[in-house]
Amino acid sequence: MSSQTKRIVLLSVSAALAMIFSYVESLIPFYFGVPGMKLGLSNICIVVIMFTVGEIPALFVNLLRIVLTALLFTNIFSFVFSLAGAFLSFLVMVAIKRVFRLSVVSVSLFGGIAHNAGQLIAAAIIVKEYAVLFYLPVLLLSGAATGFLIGLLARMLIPRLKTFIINSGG
Amino acid sequence: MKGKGKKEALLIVIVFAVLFIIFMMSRSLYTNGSCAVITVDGVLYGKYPLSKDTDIPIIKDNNEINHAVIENGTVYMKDAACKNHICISQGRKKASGESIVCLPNRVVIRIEGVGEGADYDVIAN
Repeated sequence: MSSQTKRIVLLSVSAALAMIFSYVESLIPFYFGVPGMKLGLSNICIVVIMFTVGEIPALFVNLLRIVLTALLFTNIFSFVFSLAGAFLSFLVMVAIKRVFRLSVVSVSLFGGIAHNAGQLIAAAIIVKEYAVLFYLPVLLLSGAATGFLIGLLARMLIPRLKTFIINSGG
Repeated sequence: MKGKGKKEALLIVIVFAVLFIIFMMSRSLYTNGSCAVITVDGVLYGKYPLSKDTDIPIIKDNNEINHAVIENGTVYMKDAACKNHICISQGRKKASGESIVCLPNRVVIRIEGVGEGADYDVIAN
């Protein structure tokens, strides 16, 4: 199997795993009456790929996950909001990783904040209802908390998975 | 390397502290609202005072797409024709600035104004 095929398989499996995480987290009640609040478990896959394979492959996994999840389970609105959150969080994560040179935990922390911010701002613009920005403080805080915890998990996983991932086609 | 780790940990603590302060400050701006403003597709559907218990069917193209209820100074979405019912699970809202949004049906219920028991002066829109 060529290394390019291996790479495609690895990233596809990661995207599928991210989708499973999405489903699992939808079963866990994590709702405080604020739309958009979630655990963000799928970001484990994104962040691990980002630190073992590379940033662009991580973006690819994220986009693949978002497109497939939207096509299969949700609607066009949630698709656009997720996309906005993903792009903003990607820019922020790459900046934190490359420019500020911080570790996984910080990357995931700021990524979580940026994702929630991007989603909410996109929602406010599209629905033309800026009152929803009312939820920005609580979503930023919860994004930071979940991002931080995901970052801790990723920090434990990356050294253990790195060799396996690179051998599998990273 | 260890020094770098400590600096990063400090940064994380500062980030959380800042976000927490922002969050607590935004909470102190909560005042009880005076009316619920409902818009459908960005167009005003109606303004309803929270002081009066009301049943509000939201009708578009002769179909009831959502149903809102004002009860005891709070408003909540009782029923909706959307798939996920996220709008219903948003629960009861009564603070000025809070909102209930049904994205698929493009219905937004926003609390405005200053009602009874408000502690702060708020400029109503």
